Amino acid sequence: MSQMTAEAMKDDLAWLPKGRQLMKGNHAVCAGAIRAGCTAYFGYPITPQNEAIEYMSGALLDVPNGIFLQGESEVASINMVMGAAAAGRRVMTSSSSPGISLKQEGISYIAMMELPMLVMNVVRCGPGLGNIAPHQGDYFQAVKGGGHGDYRLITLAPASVHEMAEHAHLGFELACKWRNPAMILTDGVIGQMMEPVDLDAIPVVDWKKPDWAMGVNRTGRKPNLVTSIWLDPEDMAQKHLEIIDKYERLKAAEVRFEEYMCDDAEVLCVAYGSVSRAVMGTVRKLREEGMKIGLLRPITLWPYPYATLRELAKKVKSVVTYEMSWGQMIEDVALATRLNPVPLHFVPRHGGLTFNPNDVETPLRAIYANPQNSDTLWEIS
Amino acid sequence: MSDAINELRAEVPLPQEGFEVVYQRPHSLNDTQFTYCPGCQHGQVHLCIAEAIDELEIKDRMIGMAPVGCSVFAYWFFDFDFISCPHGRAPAVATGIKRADPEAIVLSYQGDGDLASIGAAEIVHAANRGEQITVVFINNAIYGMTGGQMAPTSLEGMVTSTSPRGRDVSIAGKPIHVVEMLSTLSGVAYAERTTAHDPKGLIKTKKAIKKAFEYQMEGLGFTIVEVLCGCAINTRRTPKDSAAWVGEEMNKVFQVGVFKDIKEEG
Amino acid sequence: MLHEMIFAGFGGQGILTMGQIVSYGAVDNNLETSWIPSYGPESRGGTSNCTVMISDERIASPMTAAPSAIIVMNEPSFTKFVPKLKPGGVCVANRDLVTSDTDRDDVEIIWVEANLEAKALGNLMTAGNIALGALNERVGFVADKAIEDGLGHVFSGKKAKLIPLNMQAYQLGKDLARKG
Ligand SMILES: Cc1ncc(C[n+]2csc(CCOP(=O)(O)OP(=O)(O)O)c2C)c(N)n1
Repeated sequence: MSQMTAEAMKDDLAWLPKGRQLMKGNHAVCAGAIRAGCTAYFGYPITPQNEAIEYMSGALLDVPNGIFLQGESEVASINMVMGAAAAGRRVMTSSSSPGISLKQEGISYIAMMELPMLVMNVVRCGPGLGNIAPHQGDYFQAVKGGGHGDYRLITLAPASVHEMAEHAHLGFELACKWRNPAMILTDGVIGQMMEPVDLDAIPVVDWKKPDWAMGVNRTGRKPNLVTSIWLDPEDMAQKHLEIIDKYERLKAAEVRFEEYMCDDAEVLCVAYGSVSRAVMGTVRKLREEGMKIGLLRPITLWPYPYATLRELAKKVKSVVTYEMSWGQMIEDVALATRLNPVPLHFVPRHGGLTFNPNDVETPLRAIYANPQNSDTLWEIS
Repeated sequence: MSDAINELRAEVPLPQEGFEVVYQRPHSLNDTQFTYCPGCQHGQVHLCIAEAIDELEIKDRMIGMAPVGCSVFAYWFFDFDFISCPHGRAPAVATGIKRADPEAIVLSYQGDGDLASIGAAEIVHAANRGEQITVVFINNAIYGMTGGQMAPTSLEGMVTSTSPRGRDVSIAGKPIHVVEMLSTLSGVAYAERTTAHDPKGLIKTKKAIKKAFEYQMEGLGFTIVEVLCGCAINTRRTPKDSAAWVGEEMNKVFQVGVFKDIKEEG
Repeated sequence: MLHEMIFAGFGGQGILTMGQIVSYGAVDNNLETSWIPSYGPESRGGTSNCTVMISDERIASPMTAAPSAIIVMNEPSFTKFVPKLKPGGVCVANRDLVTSDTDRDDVEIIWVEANLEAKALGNLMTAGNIALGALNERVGFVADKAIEDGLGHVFSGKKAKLIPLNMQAYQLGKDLARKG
């Protein structure tokens, strides 16, 4: 790098998002991504995440070597992401449920190609066109593999605007470390909300093109190949075993969660993302009344904190899952607790309605009083 | 949605004896008031479509495809069967419907994001196959429903929420000319561009749509009418300025006229 | 300390901006805060509202069913949010656009002729800041300086010249609330 005066240096970094700012979640994720070395974005407008594509359409014009393109569709956008990822960029896209469905084919290919990239899903209420209100109905699609084949998607569930920025960095780090796509799974509460973000706390990454990436061959290296096709089942089985092994190591190393007042809890609440905020407020309030209630907030939805949940569940009288869905994460709660059955309760919100504190509190009081509370009791059926 | 307005209307006295109805709402529309923003022409084009249907007396044969865009709730206003399609896929859905019920008259109503961006493949192939459907294509040069992002038809240099420094054609390409492009395909029987920004344009728009329906009834092939419209809210203009902008700036880039008419070609 | 506030009115009354002024100001003065607009099915029907939380510790739910303080700038907001107010809560209501009343006697209603006062100041758009002044006088959720800081964020660049007028409106609101 050529010598630069301090003044020029400062100007040179004018594009870098910094400081403690009040930001929308959809903006914070982009600011965090740019600090984490993201220089490329491809996407297509859809509510409630338009602030993300709009932010990138301006910001990436100033980032050195920045690329912004509004694709003609989500299908095109995810394939543009595939290309830029193959060429070694830290690249991201964002969308909301209907658009994320369209990206599934590309995500499946990207997983098998073992390319790193970040995709944000600001989930809205489905199925179909549904509405634009917050929802958690895309949990299965994210953590059980929404596209075809056996892959897994590293899935992060931020619960605050600051975490949106943090998870953009974490998502890229995990995606690049494990060469696997990563997703930020959030909703309009976090995407549309403004909260303080400490951008200076997000590491600045000067991302360098990896050896495996496509590009002009200046060193006479062997050609690099990025592909997802292995016609011979023997070869494919070998590849599968490699990826399975990678996933096992990933699961052992990268589970993240937050425990809130779980130590002596008699009732354990489980909730992720925006829903965990409403639950946390209620736990705090009922603790003041002396009720022994705790909250487990999974931060990585894949890999899921099965082991932690299993251990916590051994010590409580009942477990309550709060979800804005017809019942998806509750199946993982059931998996985690299958060996030491404890009454499971399910408290949903439907249609895009969010949890207000009393939607959390009323059933929680009932369950605390009676671990077999029949209104909320849930069983696999 | 407009219950209050409908209640008010119920109170308005009906014409007394001795009066003759000379103008009324088309039968193909129901009584619901349009909910479109000031300076938007979706409503006027709905009227053109409804009048054409009334004149051809085909209301009972009509099936409408509602797109994803500001006209996603077009079925609030039209009084015949409708299906709400995924974003951009209306021509494919229309294909399925028309082939399943060939007697039906099928209308695919689409915006520029819906038709020319995400749905570019579906429209090209429906046209190329000569599907017996009529497409009304609302070109307002912007994404209305999602709040003013760049459309494939946005003009060069046009500032939108995803082209904050103006559409750079070296990055985003030039505005797509849909009817010109489709008129090169042999399956297309009729392709015309009109404008909805003034009364003269609206009269032509209705005529064009009526002709397109007639060609569909005769089984001549795929028909499309592209209508230039304004989006005053998202282009941050007054309705009047927005109409003037359509008449001047959009008209310069998108010429109105008939681009294909297989009857003329003999 | 936790203030759970809802500001509500018609679209175009600057309701969302009013909330942002408070949140921006809170950030500049090292408080925890969240701002969330009415969003999804709630926002139908031309009314607009936002929920603003101010606290000195981590904020749990950014939404509330029972706010401790509200500003209602029109009739539909009054009928919707006054019943939700926590007992002991404070409501600033715009007398110019609210015709009904409440029979709740466990909350405090501060009536302000916000539109008339704003017109007298020469700019109808300052009505919200008059209401904001009245609420902060009674509730004291942030220091006056925070409001000035917040105004600096939402009126930046060319619009900065609007700050003194809006500060004047805010002070007027405080005076009106003090006089009762
Ligand atoms: C798969 C998918 N992607 C994106 C969207 C979001 N979306 C809704 S309407 C729209 C564009 C509307 O623009 P246009 O077709 O020009 O119609 P207008 O609203 O201007 O009438 C988009 C991108 C969606 N609903 N589904």
